[in-house]
Formats: sequence, C-alpha cells, structure tokens
Amino acid sequence: MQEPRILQVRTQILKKNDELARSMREQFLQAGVFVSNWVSSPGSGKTTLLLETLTHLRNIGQRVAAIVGDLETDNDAQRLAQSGAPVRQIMTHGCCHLEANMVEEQLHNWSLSDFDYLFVENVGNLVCPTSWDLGESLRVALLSVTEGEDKPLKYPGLFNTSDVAVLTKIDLSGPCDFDRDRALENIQRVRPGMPVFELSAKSGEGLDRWFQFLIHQRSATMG
Amino acid sequence: MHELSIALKLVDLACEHASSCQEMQVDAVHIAVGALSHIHEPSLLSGFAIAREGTLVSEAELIIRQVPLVLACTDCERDFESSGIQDLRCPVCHGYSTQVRHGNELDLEFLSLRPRQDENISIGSVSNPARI
Ligand SMILES: [Zn+2]
Repeated sequence: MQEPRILQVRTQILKKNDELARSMREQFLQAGVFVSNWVSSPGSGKTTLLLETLTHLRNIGQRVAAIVGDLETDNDAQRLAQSGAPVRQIMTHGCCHLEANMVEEQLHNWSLSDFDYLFVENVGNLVCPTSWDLGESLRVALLSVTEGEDKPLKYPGLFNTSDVAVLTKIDLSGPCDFDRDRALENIQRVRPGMPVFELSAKSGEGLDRWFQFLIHQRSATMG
Repeated sequence: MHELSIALKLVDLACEHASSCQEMQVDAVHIAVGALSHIHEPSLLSGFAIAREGTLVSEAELIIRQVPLVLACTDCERDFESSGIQDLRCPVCHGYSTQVRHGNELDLEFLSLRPRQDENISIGSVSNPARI
C-alpha cells in the first residue's frame, strides 16, 4: 500500500453561505436598510412581537418589510401582513433554518432602498439557525418566560451567536414561576455582556425601550 | 437537523478540491469542529454518509477533530481553556470581558488521498444530484 497523500484545504465549510451573507450585508448597508434576524423556539411570541414592531415603526413613518421562514404554512406571514408592511414568505419544507441564498431569492423585485428596516423571522428552532449568517446587522434571540430560566444553558448557541436577547411574555412571569434573576444570570453566563430586553407584547410593557433600541441600532449601523 | 445541510456543503467543498486530482481516491475527509459550533457529531456522521453517495468522496471516511473552547479575558490579559460552553465568563475573574479565541471552527482541514488501485474505476460526478 502506498502512503496516503495529504491535500490541504483549510476552508470554512459554510464559506459560500458566509461570502454571500457578507456581500448581502454590504448591499443592505449601501441601500440604507437595517436587517435583523430573529431566532427562537416555536411559540416564543416572535410573530406577535414582530407584528407590534412593524406596526409601531410604520406608524412613526418608517418604511419596513419582513421575510418569514416557516416549515410548511404561511400563517405567520399572513399575521404580519396585517401591519400593512410588505411581507414575503419562505416555505422551507422541513428545512429547519434559513440560509443566505433563501433570503437573497426573496429580494428580487424589491428595491432595497425603499426600506429602512427589513426583519427576517427565522424558522422556529433553537439550534439549527445559529450557524447561518443571513447578512443581518443584528441577530435577536427571543426567549419567552414560559420556556423557563434554564433555556440559555440548554441552548447556549442561540444566545452566543446573537447580539441581543429579548425576554417575551413577561406578563406571564408570575403564573409560570419564572426566576428572572436566574434567567438573566444564565444569559450573561453563555453570552457575557449581552443586552437584554424584557417585554410583553400583550401588556405593552417594555415595548418602547425595544423600539428605541432598534431605532438607535439602525442609526449606529448606518453611521 | 442542520447537520445534513452542513454535510451536503462539506461534500460539495471536498469534491471541489478532490476534482483537481481525480487519479487519487479520497480516503478521508478531515474537519475541525469547535465546541461552540453546535454540531451533534452522530448526526453529522450520518449526514455525511448520505451526502457522499455517488460523489468523488463516496469512499471517504469523515474524521472530526474537536476544538475546545478557548477564551481570552481582556481584563486578565490571558487565554483560558473553558470548562464548558455553558459558561463563557472568565474562569479567573468571572468577568464578562471575554472573547472567543477558539471554538467557532467548522472547517474542512485536509483530504487524505491515495492512488486508485483499479484503473477501471469510473470517476463519479463532482456533485451529488440529490440536493435538498
Ligand atoms: Zn479575567
């Protein structure tokens, strides 16, 4: 037997996705559209908060749009369309995450400079979306109090690949026996220094701070 | 799971490189997987077994090098190997000023090749036609 030969490669496996995402990010920045990628488990209240966010930003004169990833249905897209914002749907047919090229396909015939904000609602999943850059400037990890304070330790990847955490449904903290201090500490353990927003789309508590944060992030990103 | 998608990308990338020396057979595909890359190894191995079918790396074994999590604390000005991915604070000062030095890797490192024994072996297509 001959000795095996080594062919050095040293390349990221997701290089093509990462390169596409990088060029999309540049395109977004040039067009002045601030893109965020929202990641959470199903049932975290992501669609509800996104609907509130789209509606509020539209009411204050911002131009917003959304792209929704969903396994099989267009329920979320239909709900978001109630805001009056243009919404596009990616049906992933079982694929548990969005990839950059799936988002890129949705951009056709949209003039990006017509938007100030583009929201990408990822497929509801705590693990799979973490590896895939979609060209966003902000990745948002959402956790509802009904999921329990240990979730950050069980799914550290969701948090340590995100830029900001949002604790949703805080109106249910009491009934759920949610240990807020533990939850905040767990988030800081898996993602030291992470900004956290606590809010309820139902009661409206904390929403203003959240909207302000997005507006501030957009201006900081666009320079 | 996302491991199948990653396995398909890996096979594409490995075939791209292997196609430059088709007189060789790919025995093994060596990758580095960081502790923070959120890969479930058994799923990646079974995903790879599916993804390699009918490609230039159909005979190849997947060999995974695990990369531990290494953090740098800017306050302590030192690097530390972290005890686990559930705690990214500095293990010494317990501060939040840490950065990930290693642990995010998800890299194709190298291929090991050997000359084909049987000259009659036909050379497979570069990429797998069955894509999801
Ligand atoms: Zn330290």
